Amino acid sequence: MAALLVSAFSAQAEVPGQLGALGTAKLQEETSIQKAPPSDSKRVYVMDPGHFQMTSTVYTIDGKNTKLLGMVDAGKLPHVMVAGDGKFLAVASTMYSRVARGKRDDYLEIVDPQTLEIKADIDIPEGRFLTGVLERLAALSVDDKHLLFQQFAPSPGVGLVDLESKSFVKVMDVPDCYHIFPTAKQNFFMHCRDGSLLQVSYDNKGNTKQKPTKVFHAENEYLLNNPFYSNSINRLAWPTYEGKVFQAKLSESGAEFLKPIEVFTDKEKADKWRPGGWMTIAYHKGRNELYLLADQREKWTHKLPSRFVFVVDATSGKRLRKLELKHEIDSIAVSQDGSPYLYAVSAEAKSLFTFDAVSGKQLGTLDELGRAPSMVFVADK
Amino acid sequence: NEAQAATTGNLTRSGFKPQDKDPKACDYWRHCSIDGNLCDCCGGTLTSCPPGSSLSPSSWVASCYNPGDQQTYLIAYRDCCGKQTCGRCSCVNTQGELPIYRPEFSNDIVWCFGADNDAMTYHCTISPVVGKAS
Repeated sequence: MAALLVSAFSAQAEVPGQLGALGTAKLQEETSIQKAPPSDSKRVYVMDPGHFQMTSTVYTIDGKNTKLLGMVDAGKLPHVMVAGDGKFLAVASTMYSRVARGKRDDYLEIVDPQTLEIKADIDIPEGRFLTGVLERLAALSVDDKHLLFQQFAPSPGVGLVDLESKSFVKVMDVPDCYHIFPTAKQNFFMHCRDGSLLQVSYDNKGNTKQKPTKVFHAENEYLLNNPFYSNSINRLAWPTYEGKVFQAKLSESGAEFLKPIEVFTDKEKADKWRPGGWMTIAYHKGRNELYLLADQREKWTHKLPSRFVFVVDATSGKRLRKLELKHEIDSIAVSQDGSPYLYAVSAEAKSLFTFDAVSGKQLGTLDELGRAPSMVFVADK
Repeated sequence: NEAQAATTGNLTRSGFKPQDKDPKACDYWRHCSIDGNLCDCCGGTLTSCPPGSSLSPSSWVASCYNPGDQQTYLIAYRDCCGKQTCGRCSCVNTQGELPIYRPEFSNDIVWCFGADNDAMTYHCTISPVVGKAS
């Protein structure tokens, strides 16, 4: 029998080394590896950190058809960043040599959005800030040439990675500030404990100049952990626990603070409408609309999911729509094209729900997305 | 009761309603700002880590109301580290929980700083009392 098999497969030119000719059958059909279509404005990524698990999954999804295109593996509490033009995906991860112990290794992977192949694997110091993942604790620069990641311990810092030379440069010292909001010409802003922003400009070697803005919110106005920020228009929109949205336009010449918006009426506030979830705010550039994920809730329940999205004009604060999603949603994002979709992810349902962002009509569902998918990312342009 | 290790008393939008009878339930009063897994369900206790894990000396804190004696106590949540996430008795409460720029009250952070062997991987959390809150 063995001799028969060998002769049957002898026509195969190359066979996998570990298997030999024996198990390599000649097929009647062509087999291949799929390639995803080019990234477009409705490409969306869902990240499942699995409640602090050692490995995570990034789901690559065609938002138009709510179709899963493929997956990217990541380590513990990874940061996912989409290049401005959607041309690559960057994932900053942490792994250990023996599952959850042993030698720690932090690294940055650059992923091709069509083949999902790893185009670069860049070693970084073991200093990533491990938290329930906050979107802006790591960021691509506006020109996608640098990557910046936050360090918390032993002291606050921002790691600088040069993506062109595929090398780590330096951890730049910063004061007691958090989040990274890049602007042009090698600048970024952070939000500091004292209620100001800090502007940091840096050169290619990681030398910095730093300048604080005014204090823009009171000590008892708590800013939720995941603001909206756009690398392309440098617009920051940041809700408080009570639904007041602070906004700023950032540039290399400084921060321009806009008039804060109250999303809820006094009556709604009395009825306990508050934002809640994980990524609670999105913004559509073309329509100048802010989307806030909210529900009726007691104080101090700000991380529980919500079932509604309030849409307001980002300049006047005027209420435009109130969308009822009818699911327990943790995070939202909005595609930036002319007929935008609202993407909503639910850890409880382990699903991504797609809605028409204007009508609020549900268009699609993608289920079985890991253990606790909680974050959603779209291309900025 | 190990048979009931699946978390009970999870936080809802109607708020945290503490009880003082079952420390393995999510609504036990000391867990008012816990985020992760209760070590009591993972081989540890309310104040001790499971075997083989590393106890972190760093913590975030919260003031939790004890309905048993109507007093409020400061709880210093310490993580047990160096193992995969326990997964049992998952629990997220956020009484007085503040954003990341107020890290002493922020429970999203992996509070493993200072654990033996530089263990920075999250396994579970214990809820020891530091003292009375005023």
